[in-house]
Amino acid sequence: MPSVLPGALVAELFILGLMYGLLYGVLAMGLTIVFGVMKVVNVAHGDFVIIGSYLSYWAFVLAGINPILSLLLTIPFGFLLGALTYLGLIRRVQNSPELMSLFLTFGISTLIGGLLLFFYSPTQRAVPVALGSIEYGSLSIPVNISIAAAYAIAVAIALRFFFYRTYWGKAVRAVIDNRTSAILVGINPDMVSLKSFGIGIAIASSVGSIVMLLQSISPLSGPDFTLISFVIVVLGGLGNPPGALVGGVVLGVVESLSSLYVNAAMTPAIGFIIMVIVLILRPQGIMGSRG
Amino acid sequence: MLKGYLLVHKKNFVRDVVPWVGALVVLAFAPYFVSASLRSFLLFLLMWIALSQSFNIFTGLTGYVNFGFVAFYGLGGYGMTMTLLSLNIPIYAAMVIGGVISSLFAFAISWPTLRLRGAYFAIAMLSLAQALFVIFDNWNFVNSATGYTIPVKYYDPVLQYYYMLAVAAVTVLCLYVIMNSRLGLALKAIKQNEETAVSIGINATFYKAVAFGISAFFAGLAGGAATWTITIIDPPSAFDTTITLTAISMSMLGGLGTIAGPIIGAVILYSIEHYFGLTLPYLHLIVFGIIIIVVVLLIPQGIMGEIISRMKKSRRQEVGEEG
Repeated sequence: MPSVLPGALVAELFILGLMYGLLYGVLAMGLTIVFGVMKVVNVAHGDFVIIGSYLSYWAFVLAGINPILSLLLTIPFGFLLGALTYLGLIRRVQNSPELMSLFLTFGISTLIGGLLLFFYSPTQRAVPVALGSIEYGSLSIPVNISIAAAYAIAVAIALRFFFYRTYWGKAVRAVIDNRTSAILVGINPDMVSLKSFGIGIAIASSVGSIVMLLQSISPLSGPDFTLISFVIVVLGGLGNPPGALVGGVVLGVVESLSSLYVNAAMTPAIGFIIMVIVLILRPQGIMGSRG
Repeated sequence: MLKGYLLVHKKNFVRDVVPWVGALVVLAFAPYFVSASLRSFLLFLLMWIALSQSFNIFTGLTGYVNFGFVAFYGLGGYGMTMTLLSLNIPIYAAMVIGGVISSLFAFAISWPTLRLRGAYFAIAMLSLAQALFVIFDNWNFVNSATGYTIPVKYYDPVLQYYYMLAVAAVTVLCLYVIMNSRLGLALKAIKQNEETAVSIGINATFYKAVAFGISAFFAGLAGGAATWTITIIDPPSAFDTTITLTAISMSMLGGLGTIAGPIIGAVILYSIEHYFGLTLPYLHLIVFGIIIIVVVLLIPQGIMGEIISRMKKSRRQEVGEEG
């Protein structure tokens, strides 16, 4: 058995961090699109991830469907759920003070968490899908994480196509850029909000399926995903989708490499400390521009 | 001089004070008449009144949402327990030290966090509370994940009840004093429009930090008293996000920025939690979630806020008819 060289260990941690970072970056893109369009911070973002995870879990347990295949279920379901949440709830606070939308999504988060806890108990759930690992020299990268990274890249490319090649994508960018001007040139802001909330939640719940490849989840894991998305969104600048992807990669790599120096249990705290420092020094995010 | 700072405008003192003194007297004599289980129910109800009211002191008066509120509760609990165990001082002194530690923490973090507006502040506080949990869970100085147990010699349920009553009463009194003071007026101006408030010479950063510190102090006191009663403190219980959630739900339902509101909210929601908590665990979370959503959509000012604005409306109509 070859001894793992420190150089190889660093490379492996770097690649793993990069892959996790891509996935979390894409998750945070969902949050940041919603904020950019509606100025609503969706505190329930992570809870929609858990809804996707539970769908995949039950699809696996009841029908033996692999979490990768259940993406076909969680993406449309997430979009529909997001669109309905927007129509029924979010739309009503869009013009209220920010405080109200924070409280509202907090209420939604509590409701989802409570429903899942009530019906499924706080038990950790996992799907036993281990696909081995890719060996390259002394590097060993699990296939599951590679699939997660591949999915994240696919979503990022799809979003790029949506934002730059389709009418509604351009409309979303226009509303993020300047809502009033967008309305003046005839863009329907309600339709843009509906679609972007749907996309945001579709991203969240599809990431929930992918998460089942990587770890076990419980109804209590929701806020963890919300927090990690927040950290990334702050790193990349609120309302800046490409920034979120960069922020995700930065956070993933820093957290992964920091496990060389500090107790692995402490790595979440590192993310928060980075976030607070960024909030103080560059509130517009590492990618954002001042003003 | 002091009068100018403490009481800006006179109110109907008798009408304002009598119901509160009455409630205090009833609660003070309650342990002599009620069963141990009802006394314990009242104790935790008083804890929630103190917590939702100290949440109200900051968020209700400034409009800044503190999603990391539980940090103050947890720090107060840890501060109380650790000073009690290491210094062997009276429990009330340990509780005050816990409150002061929590308050000092609030002042320390107010410098970076209170410069942030709206959502950024909410996110930063949520993360800070979570970071505290992770740090305490791994920090040997605070006994990491094991936490502490309060020795049996301190067990005294009736005294615990009176301490919690005192904490709740002082918190409510403090809110009343703040709301009728120059500090309260400044906070009101900041809540309505911070830029305008700053432009007319109100030192917004200072007033916000003071309200933040006071909120943290009382949450810390309540955390200390609660830890004494529960007898165990560890990171998951001290930094439990549901404490923030419950304080938010209670003060939202009753009405943020009002004195009676959070108390009404605490009575309603703690009764629900107490009733369902025993038979159907987690159902209260569903109820809390629905209540927050319904309150935001239908009565964003909460029960008391709604009552107050309706009273004002009808008074205006009466004046209009006479004139």
